[in-house]
Amino acid sequence: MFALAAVALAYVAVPLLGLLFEVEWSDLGEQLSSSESLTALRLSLMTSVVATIAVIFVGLPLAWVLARVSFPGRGFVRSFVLLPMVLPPVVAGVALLAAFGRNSAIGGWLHDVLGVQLTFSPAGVVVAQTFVAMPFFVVAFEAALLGRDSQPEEVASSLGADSWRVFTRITFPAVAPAFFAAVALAWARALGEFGATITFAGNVAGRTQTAPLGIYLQLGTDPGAATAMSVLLLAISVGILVGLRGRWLVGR
Amino acid sequence: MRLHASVDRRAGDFHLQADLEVPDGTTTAVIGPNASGKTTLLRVLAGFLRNDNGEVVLGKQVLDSGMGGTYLDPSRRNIGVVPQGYALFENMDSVGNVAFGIQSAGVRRQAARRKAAEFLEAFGLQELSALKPAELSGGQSQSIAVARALAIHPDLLLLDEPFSALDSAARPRMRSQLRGWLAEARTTTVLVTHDPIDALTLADRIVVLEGGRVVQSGTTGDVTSNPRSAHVASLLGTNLLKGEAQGRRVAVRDLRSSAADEARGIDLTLSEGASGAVFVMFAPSAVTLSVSEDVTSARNRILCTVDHLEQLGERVRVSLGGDVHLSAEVTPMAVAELGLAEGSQVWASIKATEISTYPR
Repeated sequence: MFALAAVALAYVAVPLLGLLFEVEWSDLGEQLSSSESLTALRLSLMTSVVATIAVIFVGLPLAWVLARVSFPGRGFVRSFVLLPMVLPPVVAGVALLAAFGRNSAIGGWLHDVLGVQLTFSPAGVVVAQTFVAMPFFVVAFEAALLGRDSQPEEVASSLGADSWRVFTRITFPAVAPAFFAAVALAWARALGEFGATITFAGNVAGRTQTAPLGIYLQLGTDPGAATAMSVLLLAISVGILVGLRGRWLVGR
Repeated sequence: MRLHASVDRRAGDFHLQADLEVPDGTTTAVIGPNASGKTTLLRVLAGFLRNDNGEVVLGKQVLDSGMGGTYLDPSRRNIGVVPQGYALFENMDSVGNVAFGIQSAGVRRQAARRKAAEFLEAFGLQELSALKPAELSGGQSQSIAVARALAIHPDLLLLDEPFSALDSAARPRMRSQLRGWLAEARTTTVLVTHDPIDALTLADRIVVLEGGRVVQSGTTGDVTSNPRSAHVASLLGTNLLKGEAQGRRVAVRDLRSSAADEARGIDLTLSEGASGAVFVMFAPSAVTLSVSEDVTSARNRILCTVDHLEQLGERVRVSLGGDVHLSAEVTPMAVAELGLAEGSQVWASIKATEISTYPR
């Protein structure tokens, strides 16, 4: 048992340590500040933040409805929402293309009427990231809501508070730590998004080339830059894990 | 305000069907064993559950008229709720808890907090104002929960087992405090409890629920002097049997016995005549025990087996089995003298003058 457990641990640790050995620490800063890397990082940061805001905006009401409102087919909706979590990201990308590509009904309407093109645009990156990151937020936040006793909420409504006031004053303060954990999970997933992004939004430098895409491309031309950027993404992931310690991933 | 409720609500196999009338400004205690539907009843009144059939009317306002009819959201009913665990808002201090309802009514935050602070002072709770729920004792939490509910000047106050979260030492003081507040607020109140002392000390009327049905309702005096269910009798600590009376003789059986148990039972002699189906009641202290048959002058003697002995204060409660189940109360000295133990045989005697009967 212990031997196999150690193998599993090593399986996670060895590649990450390899990455740390591979990187040239002396010119890490220089590698990251190259204009190509900076552009990709900036794009990643902006799109993932916008995607995370979008996830919160619609995912929060969804999690609340799933946790608090009983309706026929709730079990089905609950599983359906999780689909992007298990779906191969490239399939997600193809699905998004089918729905929002220029040749699809919705994509065509967006382009012709509103002049918005999602493919090959930063907006498309946001759409792809939102699609894959949403379930992470919904699952985590719904679990937190379900774990709460609903009695204080009932009392609050009996005291004349409407559902918005009950949520903002009673429910949310009680689940705020779990909310931020769920946000961090969704953001991490959006930041690392690769498959759906490259399929749906393409790989246009400066427009849709996010950090993961940049890493993949530079691996052939400039391995040092790719490694440096990988280390930075690893550092962000570790930062998120440390922030979540004991909240969601550990000790539940 | 007067409450008229005709509640009919199914939840899985359970079916609650209960009518409730609470006159303006009075307190009604709903008592009954676990899973009798007490809390479900309260939740329908509060609007946390919808009524399937029948009307809930408070004053002149229809709150719920069953499926397909009117249904007012809890936030639009002027009803104060004190749930079993109190459910204080953990992220707010006592003033914040009490101010919540005032603020929900549209009063600005500062003004609401000022009003809440005055309210706490009127209740003598000002020293708790700045404390968070985690810093309050059980009794203090209950006080804040009641103050929070009364702060909205409700037309109806609902209390669900208000003392069950408290240790027994704190209960008498909290009970008398609540009694004072209810008398002062004169709010129409429904109190759910399994403790008869709560009902006796706080309520004007009692409704007994069993298995989702009202088995008895009436004034506190009515229900306690003429209990009609085994549950109420055991709550009151009295012996209640059913009988068929003919003059001064009555054939008595256990309340829960069925027709199949017809052969079991005993005959008792009454001091006054009665006829037909009756309840037969006598206090455990009216039952005297002896080891031989001919010790007392009481006319009613029954051979019993001791099922169980339990110390109750300075007395010992002896549960007796045999043709009927009885309980007797004796002194620890008597237990020693009679050599009572689980399984031993004793003669129970009941004086005819100690037995009361009333129609079933």
